[in-house]
Amino acid sequence: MLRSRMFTPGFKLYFGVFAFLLAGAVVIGISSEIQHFKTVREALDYQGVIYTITGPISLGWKGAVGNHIGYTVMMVGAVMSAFLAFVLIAFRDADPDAGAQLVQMDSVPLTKAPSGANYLPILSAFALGAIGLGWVLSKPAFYAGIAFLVCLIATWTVRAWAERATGDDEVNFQIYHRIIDPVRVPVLAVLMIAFVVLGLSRLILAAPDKNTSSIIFGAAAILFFAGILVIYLLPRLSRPLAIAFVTIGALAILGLGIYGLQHGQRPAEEHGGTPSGEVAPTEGGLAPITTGVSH
Amino acid sequence: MAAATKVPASYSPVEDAPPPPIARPRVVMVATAFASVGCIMFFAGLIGIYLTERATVLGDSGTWLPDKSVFPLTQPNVMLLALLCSSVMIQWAVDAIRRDDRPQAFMALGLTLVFGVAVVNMAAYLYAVLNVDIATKSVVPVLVYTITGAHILMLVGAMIFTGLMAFRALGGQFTSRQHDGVSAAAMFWHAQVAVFVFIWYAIYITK
Repeated sequence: MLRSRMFTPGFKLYFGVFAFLLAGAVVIGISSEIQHFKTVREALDYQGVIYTITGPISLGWKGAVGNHIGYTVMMVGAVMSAFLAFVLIAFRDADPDAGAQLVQMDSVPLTKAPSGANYLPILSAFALGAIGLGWVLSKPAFYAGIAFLVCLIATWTVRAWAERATGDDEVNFQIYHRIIDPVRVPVLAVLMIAFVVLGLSRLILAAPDKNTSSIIFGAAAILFFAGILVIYLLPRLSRPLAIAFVTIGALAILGLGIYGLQHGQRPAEEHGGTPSGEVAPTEGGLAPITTGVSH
Repeated sequence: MAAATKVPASYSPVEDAPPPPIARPRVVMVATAFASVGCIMFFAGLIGIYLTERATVLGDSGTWLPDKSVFPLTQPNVMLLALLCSSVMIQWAVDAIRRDDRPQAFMALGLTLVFGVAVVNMAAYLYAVLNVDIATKSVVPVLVYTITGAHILMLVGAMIFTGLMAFRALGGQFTSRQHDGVSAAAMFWHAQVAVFVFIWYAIYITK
């Protein structure tokens, strides 16, 4: 069997899809137009054969196309299939010999595997979700999502560049951390501190009275200190312990902070002092001093 | 004579590291081609729905555009011209990087991004002029804002893609031997320009 060297299998596949979708577009354009009539003869007598056929062929310029959605999707699908067919034939279906010839080498280069785990795609999806939800529900969440996404894009760009900087993965790793850590570590530290402060403050403000707030604050401080002591006293388990403490602590602060937000802030206590305009009484019959301070 | 101390790995200079391996060609290009086709098919569905709804309303002798709405041609024409110019710019960048002319490539990529920002700016102005309230009992505002808003998102995505490739080109990772990243960014850019041409005709010209 004579095998074509000019047309690659990928081209043949997508060209076939193009021909099928093109025919389908014409069929759907004609059939959906004439379905408004009782018979095909009646439709052709009313519109004319030329008008019925030229509509789908001329993209609706010289005739009707009936169902616009079906016709548009099929016609654009046909064009896109043709585009893919020509892209694949231009690239010879990723033929190894063609690839090697393109980069002027004896054999096609190997595909480089990703080096190390990369959490940036997951975090980027999270940022996009925050943007979407914030757009509908909350402006601060929207802007926070955008800021987060910008930071992630910058980090991912540096990582993508660093992974291809040299041929040694270890050196690439060092280059990446040399560039990103001076920025990432302070920013993450500030964000973590803000997260802890905001979460705990919501819980403390939701406590029924000042004494309970003091107990919560003290308990949080003791837990922090105890956790750090345990990590210090068990150096062999320091890394997994630190990860466990940080994870549990973050989840606890998040949960308790949400509870505090939902519960609401307790009413603010009255501080010492008199209402505005009134004069505080003094001892010894001395003339009162007006302060004009209002609480 | 003292024995030479072994330099720790953390201090190994980058210059001693082996050069980066040549990446397999055309991988990014094929992936970008499929991504572009996916995006275009998404817009094909949306524009198909728009044209169907419009044909149904006009077939019932109704008025398609809401009362008091304004669909000018000035801003869409400016956007179209800016996008066509940006297509030329990014293709110039591809041509420049193929000839190892890095200053021209950086200039062309920068101008492409400037044109992108100009289009986003003009789109914001167009939204202010349209006077189409999304709360009206009509499907027109929803479709118009969905289609045009989705195109702006695609444009922003193309700008991010172009910016990333510009950054990598600045880092020296693209040469005449290997310029797939810039070519892929150009392909996606041309795709979003083609999408806008359809939107320009379907929404702003046919009204």
